[in-house]
Amino acid sequence: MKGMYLGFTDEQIRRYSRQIILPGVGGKGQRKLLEAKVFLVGAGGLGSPAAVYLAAAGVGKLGICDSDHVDLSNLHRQILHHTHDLGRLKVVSSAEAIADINPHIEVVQYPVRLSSENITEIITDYDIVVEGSDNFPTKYLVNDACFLAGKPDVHAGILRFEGQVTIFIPGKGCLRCISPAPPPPGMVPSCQEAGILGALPGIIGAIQASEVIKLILGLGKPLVGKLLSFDALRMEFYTAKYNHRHDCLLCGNNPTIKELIDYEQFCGIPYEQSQTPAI
Amino acid sequence: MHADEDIRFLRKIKTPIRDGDTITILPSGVGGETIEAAKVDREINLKGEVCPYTFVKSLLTLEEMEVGQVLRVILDYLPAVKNVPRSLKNEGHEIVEVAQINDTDWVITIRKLALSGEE
Repeated sequence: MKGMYLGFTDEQIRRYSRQIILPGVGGKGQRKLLEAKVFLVGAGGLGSPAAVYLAAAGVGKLGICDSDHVDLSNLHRQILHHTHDLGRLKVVSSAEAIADINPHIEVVQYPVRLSSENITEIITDYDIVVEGSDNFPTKYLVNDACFLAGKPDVHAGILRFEGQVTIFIPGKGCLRCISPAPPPPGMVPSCQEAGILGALPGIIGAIQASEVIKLILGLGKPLVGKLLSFDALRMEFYTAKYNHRHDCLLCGNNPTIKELIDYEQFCGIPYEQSQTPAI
Repeated sequence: MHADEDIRFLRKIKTPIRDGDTITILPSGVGGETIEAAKVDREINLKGEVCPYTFVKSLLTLEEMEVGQVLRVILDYLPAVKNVPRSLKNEGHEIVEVAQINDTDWVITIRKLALSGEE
């Protein structure tokens, strides 16, 4: 590696010192983080802690996608946003909050709703996708788009006092291996209906960030083929294994899903009514 | 002063680390044998710096060097004089020497062997 130049500024060495000294990280690992590009679906309960820790760790480029504006009812869990942000686009308040934490990383704002029309082009620029949306149509869209684009999908869902996390690596299982299609609209309550413990997405989103950092650094064992569930009332984690299904509609041997599906349109139901769980 | 001469000079005034420290100061030359002076490839002056910056800067500098090359680190923070060699040894490097060069300053000489996690 003659002539290799890590090229850290003094500020970077001090900022990341507690991370650089970790076994298996070092300057090369920090360089990988600085060169990594991560796309966050949603700047809400899960996206907030995930973005904060990824930014603080020095992940060089964060894309943040959310078409919503900050609402007062968001603030008990969405820690990127503050009372003075009410009414502002979440991507804007997110970018400002992140810049306060780490002004040296690039934040790209996507104030749009993801659809089959735009998702593939958007995620092309990124290495890893963090799924933190609040509805099943988006979770399935992201799952399918990541599989077709060959990107890891760090997936999570939360409701009331429980959360789940797993990673879908193309060819090693996907959301449709666990559940072939989204539940019918109305079958699963939204967190608007069911409530959500504010600290819960903090825990689950921080796990997503940890998994992203592990993927970037190639450290440890990622949550692939395993669904980690957390119950805040029992204060217990448990893990369930799942298999890559050979008859999966998306990633099986004879897939029938070869194009992206917009479920809210497919169902013929307005988006707001089709919203289901999570976040 | 030429680097090699400097190293020989330092060996003459070498002072053991106190407080029960277990660092191996001289892996070779036990029993007063003649020691080949190490050729210093790179030197960093970390006077005025404290932990963990002292270790991180040393580690990053070693990452930029080639296996077998020798780094010399100058320090004036006593805890770092203990911690930096221990941490770099844990990373798999050889501590050639730890020596006090005047009332306030210490020099640590390290040979890069391998870095944990390095491909």
